[in-house]
Amino acid sequence: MANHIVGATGRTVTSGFLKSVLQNGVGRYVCQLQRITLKFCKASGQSRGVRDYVENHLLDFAAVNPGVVVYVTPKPQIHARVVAEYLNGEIHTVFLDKKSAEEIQQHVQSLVWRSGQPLVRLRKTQHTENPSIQGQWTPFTNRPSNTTAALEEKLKSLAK
Amino acid sequence: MFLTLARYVRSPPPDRWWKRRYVFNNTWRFWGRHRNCYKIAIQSMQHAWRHARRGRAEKKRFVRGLWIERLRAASEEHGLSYEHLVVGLDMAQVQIDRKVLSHLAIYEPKTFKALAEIARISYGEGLMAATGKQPEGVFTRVVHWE
Repeated sequence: MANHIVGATGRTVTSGFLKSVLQNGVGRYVCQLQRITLKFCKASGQSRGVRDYVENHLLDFAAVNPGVVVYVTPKPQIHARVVAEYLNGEIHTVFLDKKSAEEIQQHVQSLVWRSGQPLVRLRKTQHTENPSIQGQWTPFTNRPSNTTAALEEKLKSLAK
Repeated sequence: MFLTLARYVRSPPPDRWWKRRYVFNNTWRFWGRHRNCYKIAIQSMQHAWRHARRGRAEKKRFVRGLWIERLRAASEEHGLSYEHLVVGLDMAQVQIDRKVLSHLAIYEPKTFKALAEIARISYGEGLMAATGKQPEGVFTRVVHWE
């Protein structure tokens, strides 16, 4: 449930429209992920995938994403997780217990691709600044203007 | 099912605090005792979920009705009824759905005008094929159905 998104009235925000951060990508693209923190246990079996990921794949990830700061904090008895912090202050946690290194790679990559916008149901999966090309309908769109009406009447009278 | 006495020991019920916490997480925005008292909150929560389930089905019906209402208005502007529009487009094998048609009527009025013309002609031809009478303003044309 998305009740963490609460305004002054206490109303939940569970749906919204598609939006980007300041039209990110139109000019240059700025990765919205600020840092990731990998927390795991050095000894438990559930952190095995994370340990495998840290040993074999993490440096490649860090090289490919120079804008993302990577922290690795092993702690005893902790549930393995990755905590992602975004430029707008959003903090997102993904638990990585019993996941393989490939799955963790996919999870981390999906965190990189995200903007920091809250995860809500999208009411429309498209957004455009210019929805109309031919001109949006007005009550005057399909009505002839005064000049056109006068011209039509004149043509009718001439035809008679 | 009794297999052995040892296995017949009942498993413990779910933790009471966590069970109620689940309900209160869903009812935190309700009024008064509906958010604080479990016995009342659980009923409110189930009530709300039933409403939501019914509302999801109702919403689809409502939105479709809205499209039809808009298409009715848009086609009347072009001198065509909604029924003629829909039947005419179907005869002309134009398979644009009501959602996109209503979007076109609002945002691309010239396209919609052209589609209304297609529907008008096609409906007229359909009538001619059925009744043998040529309708006004439509030229005779042979239509091949595939």
